[in-house]
Amino acid sequence: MTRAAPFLAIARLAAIEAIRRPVFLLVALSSIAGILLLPLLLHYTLGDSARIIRDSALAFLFLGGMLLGTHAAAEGFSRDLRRGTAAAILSKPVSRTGFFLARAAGIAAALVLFSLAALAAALLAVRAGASDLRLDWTAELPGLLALLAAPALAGAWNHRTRRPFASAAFFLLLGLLLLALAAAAFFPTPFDGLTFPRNFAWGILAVGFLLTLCLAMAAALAAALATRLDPAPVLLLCAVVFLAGIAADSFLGPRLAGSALARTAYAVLPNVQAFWLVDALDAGAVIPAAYFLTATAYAAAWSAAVLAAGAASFHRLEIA
Amino acid sequence: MPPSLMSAIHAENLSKTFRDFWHRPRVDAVRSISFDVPAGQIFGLLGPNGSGKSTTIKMILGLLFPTAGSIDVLGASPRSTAVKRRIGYLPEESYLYPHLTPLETLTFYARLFRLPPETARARIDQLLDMTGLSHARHRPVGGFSKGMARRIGLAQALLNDPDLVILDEPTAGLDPQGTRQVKDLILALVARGKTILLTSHLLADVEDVCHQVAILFNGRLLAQGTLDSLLTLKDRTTLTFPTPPDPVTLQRLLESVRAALGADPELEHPRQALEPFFLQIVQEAARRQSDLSGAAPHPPLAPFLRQPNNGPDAAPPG
Repeated sequence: MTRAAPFLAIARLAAIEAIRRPVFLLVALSSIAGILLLPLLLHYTLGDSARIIRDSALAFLFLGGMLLGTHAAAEGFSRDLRRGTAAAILSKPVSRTGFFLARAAGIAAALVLFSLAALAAALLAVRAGASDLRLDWTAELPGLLALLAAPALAGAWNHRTRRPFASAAFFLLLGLLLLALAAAAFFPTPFDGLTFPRNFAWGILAVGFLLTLCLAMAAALAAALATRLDPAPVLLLCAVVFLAGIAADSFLGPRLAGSALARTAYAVLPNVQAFWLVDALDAGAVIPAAYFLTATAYAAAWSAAVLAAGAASFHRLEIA
Repeated sequence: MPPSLMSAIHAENLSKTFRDFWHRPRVDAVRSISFDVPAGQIFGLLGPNGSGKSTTIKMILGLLFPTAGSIDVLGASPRSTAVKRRIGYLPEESYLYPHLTPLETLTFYARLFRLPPETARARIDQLLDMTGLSHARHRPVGGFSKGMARRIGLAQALLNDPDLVILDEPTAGLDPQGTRQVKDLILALVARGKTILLTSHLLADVEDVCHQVAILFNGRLLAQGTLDSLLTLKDRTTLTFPTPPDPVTLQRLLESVRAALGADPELEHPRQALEPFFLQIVQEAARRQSDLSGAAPHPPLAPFLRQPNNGPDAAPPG
């Protein structure tokens, strides 16, 4: 068995444990329901419905993911310490750093799965609401069916096998949304007859990828803070840091030239604006590959720094 | 030094003070204790609640850091992952992920030890048989009784065939059959050269299996030694013989003892212990009944725990 086996086992368990929490399913279902209902709620928006649906869907992805990632990282870690599972695992040949990083990787994996489901729903919703006057039911209906069928099938499976409902419902939702996307791809759009691949606004995936990087940064921060703090202060601090990151350009931008403190704060705060590139989609611009690489490197470096601090903190943590 | 005289655990002036948020001393959980756990023996750590037993065990496992003093486990720092490869630990509470089944739980721990898949599969099957939980291998452990959860905890502690087994309250929550089985298991492990450190509130259990004990109170070590050296009443002797056929013979015997020693002997009929009596009745009943929902009675010792001691055969570090 490879050296990575313990790391992968802990990461997998952390992801599954996060997905099995009822709050994960609740937030995922709410976010995806919100995205899929957007075309039904937004009419007569003077030709802006596609844009509003796209922006709102990405906002649902960002807010839902932020809540899921920070909650799963903070609450999961705290639960492992409180319930004693961390002590049981660390009494095995597992280093503290390995345990901490594997848990964080598991939470990131759960976030990626949520983003995948939310982006599938966003693609369906944007196509369904592309026209102000008429819904594209070939996209809306499969999405809504997936949303309704996943909990129902998971309930039946839970009744039959007694296996956890929440994770079954989430994995079914993800699978059925991808199936719905595949099914809708066979139909041309009803208004302009566009066929695959032009019948979906694939540009959303690029912005969704960048937002997922930002969510992973938030989860890394939550994991690092959770080594010393309870879940409530962790969630609060994450919210403060990322709100400050969103506002950093307007607050700190004008002061960068004259203040070393402003420059330090600007460098340390997560640059959330760099990941919200919805405006580029409006302009019809293609985000260059170099930008993705730079953004990925920035997110990786920021997360690595935060996780290194978290690992150092966990290294000295007493596990009573 | 012969193996029987080597220390599996050596603690010297070990102290632990828990501190509050402002780093002020909150409680002295362990106060300058020194002890040696000889390799290949069963060592009992006894004491009432709050005496420092669990804190000491967590320092042995590297989960807590001593405030003062030093501790060696199998000749190395307790934080070494190489040492942890040779340790099996049953926590006081069976810390399990409630949504995992016994099979998933043991597979997870086998991966932490990097056991080869075939070895892991074989051991998991054997341990599930041994703990009487084969029939419940696919049920989430969150729905288990405390005793069943304890059995899974025991199975995970033995998965790596450890050299040093640390059992924190191993019989807590177990029925008498389970308790007997754990005691038999402990004796079987030590017969294979393993070292056992156990804590228990059930002094009869400790007395049944331990070679040496240390008694803690309020973080201090009050007594330490072999059971014989601590418990033998050297000024008393018990003589057991068949009940005489008539009272006259018995009176003659008592008279002769009185005359020889100048003191009145105490007379009583010895009783068999409750544990074997209970086990005999339950095993009789179990033989007549096949539909059991809890842990299976008198399961066999896992075959890999009967083999000659080769030490833990998890993948070597590095």
